[in-house]
Amino acid sequence: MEVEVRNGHFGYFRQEDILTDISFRLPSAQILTILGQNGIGKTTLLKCLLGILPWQKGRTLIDSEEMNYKKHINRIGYVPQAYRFVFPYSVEETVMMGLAGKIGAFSLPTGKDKEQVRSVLAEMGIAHLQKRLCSQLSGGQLQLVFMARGLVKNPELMILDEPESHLDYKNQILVLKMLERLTRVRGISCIINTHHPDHALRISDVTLMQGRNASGEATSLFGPTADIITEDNIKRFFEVESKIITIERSDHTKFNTLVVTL
Amino acid sequence: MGIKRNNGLLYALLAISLLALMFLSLFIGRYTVPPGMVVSILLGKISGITVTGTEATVVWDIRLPRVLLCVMVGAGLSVAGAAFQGIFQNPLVSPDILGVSYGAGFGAALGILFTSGGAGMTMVPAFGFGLLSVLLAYTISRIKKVTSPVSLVLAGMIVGFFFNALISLVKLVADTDSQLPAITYWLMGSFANTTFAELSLIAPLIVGGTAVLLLLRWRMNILSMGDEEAYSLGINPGRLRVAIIALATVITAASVMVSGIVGWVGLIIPNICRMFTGADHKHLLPASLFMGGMFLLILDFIARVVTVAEIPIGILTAIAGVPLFIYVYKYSGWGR
Amino acid sequence: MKKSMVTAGCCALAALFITVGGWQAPVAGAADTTDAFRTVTDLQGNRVRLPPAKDLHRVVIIAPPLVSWFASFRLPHTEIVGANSIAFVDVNTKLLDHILPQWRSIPTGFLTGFRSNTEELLRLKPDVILVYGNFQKEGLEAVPIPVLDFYLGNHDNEVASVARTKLMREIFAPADSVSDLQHEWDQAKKQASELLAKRNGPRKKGMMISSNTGDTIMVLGLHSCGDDWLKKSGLSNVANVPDSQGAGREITMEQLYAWNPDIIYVFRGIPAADYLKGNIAGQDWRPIKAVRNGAVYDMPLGLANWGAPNPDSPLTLLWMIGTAYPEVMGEVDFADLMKAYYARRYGIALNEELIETTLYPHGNKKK
Repeated sequence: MEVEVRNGHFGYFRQEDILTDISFRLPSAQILTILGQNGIGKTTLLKCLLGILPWQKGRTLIDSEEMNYKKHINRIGYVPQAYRFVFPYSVEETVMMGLAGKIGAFSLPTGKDKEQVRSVLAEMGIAHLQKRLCSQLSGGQLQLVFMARGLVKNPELMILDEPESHLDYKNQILVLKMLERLTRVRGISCIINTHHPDHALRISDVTLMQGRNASGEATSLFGPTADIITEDNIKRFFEVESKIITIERSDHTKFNTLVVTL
Repeated sequence: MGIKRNNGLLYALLAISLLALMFLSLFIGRYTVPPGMVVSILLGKISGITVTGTEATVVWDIRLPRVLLCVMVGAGLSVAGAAFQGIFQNPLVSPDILGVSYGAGFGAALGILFTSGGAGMTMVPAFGFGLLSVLLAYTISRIKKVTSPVSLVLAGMIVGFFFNALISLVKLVADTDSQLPAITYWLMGSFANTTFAELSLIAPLIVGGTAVLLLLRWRMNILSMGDEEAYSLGINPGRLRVAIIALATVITAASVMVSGIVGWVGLIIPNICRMFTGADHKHLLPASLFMGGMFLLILDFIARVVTVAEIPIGILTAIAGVPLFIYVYKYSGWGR
Repeated sequence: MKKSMVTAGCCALAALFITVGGWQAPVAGAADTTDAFRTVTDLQGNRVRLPPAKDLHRVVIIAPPLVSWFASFRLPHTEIVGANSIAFVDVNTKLLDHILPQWRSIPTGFLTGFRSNTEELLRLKPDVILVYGNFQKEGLEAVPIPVLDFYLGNHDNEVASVARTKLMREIFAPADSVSDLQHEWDQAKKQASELLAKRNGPRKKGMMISSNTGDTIMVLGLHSCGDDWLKKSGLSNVANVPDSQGAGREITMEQLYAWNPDIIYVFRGIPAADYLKGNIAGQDWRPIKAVRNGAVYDMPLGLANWGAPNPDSPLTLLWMIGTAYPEVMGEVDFADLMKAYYARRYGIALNEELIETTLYPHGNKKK
């Protein structure tokens, strides 16, 4: 699925604009990272993309046609930041909710739906958690459950809100690898929010960097990741000195990462 | 709690216990009717033979409608309570959270004030004001741009306080000899004066409302995740919530208009059931239906049989509800 | 497995529907075939089918004041098989010992307040049930026993006491030659107007307290039996103001000082003596004229509380005048009037003790 936003504007009631003139284009089967400091409006942008919040100006195009909530929502998997539910749902019950758009208001999940849930749990490597209660899972496991819920309806686009932010190193890498695999193997487009530039460098094809200019107005940059995540831009948008370095793994593959020097 | 739950067996057990309890309730009461006679009265009545005598009246006209009403009210309130807890994302919510009981109470008090309380004269205003109070709460909640579950609950509280004050006002104006005790007893709740005529009036409301809620039960899971989550899962929460509120309100108002304010059932039963069936409304609602019916049936049995005098059911549900609530608090996941 | 629970749920619902849908009209009692049935219209206008009076053997009385009222007819073949326990509180129990000696053993437990436990009531096997107001019919809806309502939304003591006596006599048809209560009222009213004609000076300001818990004081305002009594006995009711209607208006001490009544009648609650002695903690009644003059009276308790419509109501009228304006009574002795009335109407020869316990229910005869 190809996603394009043209000149998106959004501001909450009686507040200054949070998003001004957002434009980007994500080609099919690529990863877009939205990068920015906490509180800069990354989650708001995702909600506008989903149609939960309306653009005040500008529009979203899906495969070159106007985004329509009813039409497109069932082709988009959304993964919010993991949180604990009020009610103790099991992993299976939680993931099943990802199929809500396909199960009628007066209907119950069928055996086929259950099969679909089981296969996505297996794909995520958490089949053993199927009957466990979400309230008893670790943060990493819970994040995987949320991802499974977004993935269960076989979406063409996954939107993830800081999927790795509260995880330890091992789980961070696990999630990032999972995303890469979804894109490369299954051809799913991904949009992820993160405040880790090194994660963006590692997995994304294109990057949208959000920040504020000297007079405090919201601005953004968009382009191929390598062009956007530069030492200069990091200084401008994150207010830290940094160095981008290339590291060679033991198998001689190379990757770029970013080290904060101040 | 990684236990594999066998819900099919659970439902079968619950259904059988409920039916057995209902049947048993026809045999026991303050007025002694030999079991054989109960059976022959029931068989006679069902096959259309005219059976007369005090015993027949006791079994057929007094015990049977009362047992049926108890089960309907208990089941209806519990299902409505489970639905409300789900859509308000709060296990401490009861079906009268939007002020329906106080609205209905005010309606009944008005009926008593103006007509000195013929049975039918309290039912219609009770039902009407019950619905009105929820409508009012809903309208108030929409003063702000966005209607969230919290704004609804707040509006419900406001409306509840308002109608509670109006009830006090009616009590103040009521005749202390006849109307005031009538209002007081009405508010305490009772199944004492159940007739088939009343039953046939409310049965379609409660049974119909409960049936539709049961059909919607899986969707309640989605609403229980919050509005934004529901949106992102592809469900518009607004209309569904209104539909569920309307159905639960009809059930509650219908219950209140025949039996007065019977508290605690709709709050406690879904919480107890959640411990056995888990949070999935697919299982929670049917389990609440059976458990709620049984719970009220047992309490009403105490109300009418244990002492010579009738004990108001509202008092019994509160007394039984408190220890159960403490139990649920200890063994459920709250506050974790 | 999941299907089974849906099926079970549907079955239960269906079972409810079928049972509810298939109900039949309740069949009336077997004695329906008797021709001697009659129709009596109660005070709420309900037409009630009753067996002949001679077949009314067992009566349940839920309305408290009707118990001694009924007992005063002394019907040989009818007994009270159940009553409201309040009936034995707000009454002269010494008098009750005379007309209803077995009163202590009459079952009262079937009632919670005014609500009946239906099956317990049926065990009493009553032939007829007497109530006061719809709220006392709770638990009686499905019962195939005639219920008669004595509630009359009229606060005129004359109208109410006459109507109730009349209905009572119509139901039970006592075989005595007692004149109807209207006749007694006519006599009493005639005597009252003669007495009141002798009164000089302005009308006194009166008040009737309907209850005083020591915390809240309620008085009888506009549209109440108490107001009617004060009016009938030549007093002006200080509480007869538009914003103080009906029975049980809560009043502050400050308002009482402003009203400053000349005479106070105590219908229920803390007895009169405590007002006079200043025994009520937190309420200082001394500034009020009635208390200073010693003019605070408990309403007598005869067959019922005299403050409400009752079979002794014509006597109440004369007693009220005697207490409000003692000077007009002259040589008339109220005790003689009372003795004659009880002999005439109930065939009871009152002795000193019965008169005193009726007129001074809390045992504090003055002088």
